[in-house]
Amino acid sequence: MNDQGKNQWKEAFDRIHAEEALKEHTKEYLARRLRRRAASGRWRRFAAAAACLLLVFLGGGSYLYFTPTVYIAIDVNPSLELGINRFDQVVSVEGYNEDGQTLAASLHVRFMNYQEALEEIIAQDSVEEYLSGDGLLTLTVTGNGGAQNEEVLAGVESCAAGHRNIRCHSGSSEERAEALELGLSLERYRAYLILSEQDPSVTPEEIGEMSIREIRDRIAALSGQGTILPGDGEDSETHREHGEEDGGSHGGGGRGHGHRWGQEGGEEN
Amino acid sequence: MRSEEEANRAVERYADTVRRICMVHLKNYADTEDIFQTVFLKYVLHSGAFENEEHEKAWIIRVTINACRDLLRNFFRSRTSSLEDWQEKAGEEKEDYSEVVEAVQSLPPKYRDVVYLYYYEEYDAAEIGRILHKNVNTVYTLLARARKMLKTRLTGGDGE
Repeated sequence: MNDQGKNQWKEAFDRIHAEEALKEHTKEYLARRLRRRAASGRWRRFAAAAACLLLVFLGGGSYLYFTPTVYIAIDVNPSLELGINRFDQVVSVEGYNEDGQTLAASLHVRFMNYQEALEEIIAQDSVEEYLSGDGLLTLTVTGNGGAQNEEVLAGVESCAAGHRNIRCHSGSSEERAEALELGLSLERYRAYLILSEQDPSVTPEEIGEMSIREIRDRIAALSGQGTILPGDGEDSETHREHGEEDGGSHGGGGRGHGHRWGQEGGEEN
Repeated sequence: MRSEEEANRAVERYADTVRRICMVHLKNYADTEDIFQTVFLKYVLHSGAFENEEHEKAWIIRVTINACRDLLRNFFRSRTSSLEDWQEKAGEEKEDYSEVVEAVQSLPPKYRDVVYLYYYEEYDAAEIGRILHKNVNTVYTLLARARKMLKTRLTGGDGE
């Protein structure tokens, strides 16, 4: 290409310029996009932070809600346990023996207040059947020994009030854990400890399938005492830990801690 | 992501270059506006650093050529207008030198970039090859064919 040709090309294209309006429109467009992007970036960061917080709240809330803090073991022959969360609501129902599992499966007490749940369980035909005879029902509250423990125990006692053959007890989480290892409720575990001392042939499975009345009778028989019947004059008596009495203010319900099986047998006879 | 100031600086510096490439490829002012927005938005969002101004300019040229190709490839493009309309919008009065531009526009698309980059931007074949991602020999071939076509088109073959 000669110089003239080169100049022709140069001059032809040099005459082409971007219009001011085109440049301004482009700048405005870019400014808009940058602002929108910055805003959406801020929104995204906010949304991400909010989502994280929500997750923490949901996770923490779920944990607080669904984690039992206190357990109420119910023993007649059906043996089952209610897990109570810190809001006094039933969050788990577990059967310890076959009858207990059948009963647990038929119950719809999850997310109910534990007192309402207890009333519903006590009103169940299979439970009422036991109670109408000379059966004995025990309610054992276990937990970490906090204020809720005492409150739930008081609540359980008020449910037991009016029933002459319902007993209320409390225990520690450690005891409950030991009982769980043998697949027993705390009440049955305590009976097992007493019975196995007197009769080493007794097995946890055997204890698990016996009714509370049968267990008590067997303890009484082995210790050479007569049959213990609820309502023999001691049912309204309430046994506090270390032998402290609370005046029997809970109607038919009895209350005690520790190995009351042996202790109570002595008192009753 | 680059700042608004950087974006404005790039528009001021490279608007004419982008405009010329658009002129080579497009016959529609609205499409040119689209290309401007596409190219400079890509620039704003481009996170890589440029070694120098030449590198930055080559990047802008490459992105503009690609944006034009993408736009032309879009079969469903609804906007169409005549060359006259485009020139009217561009405020270009038809003078002697526009004959060169028209000659380039008359070439098949694959020759236009090579011719523009070689004759106006004065890149050599190797540089054009790098910008267009083409083999140097291909660039030479395209240039040779384009020259022939331009010679026929431009009176007396002065365009070469």
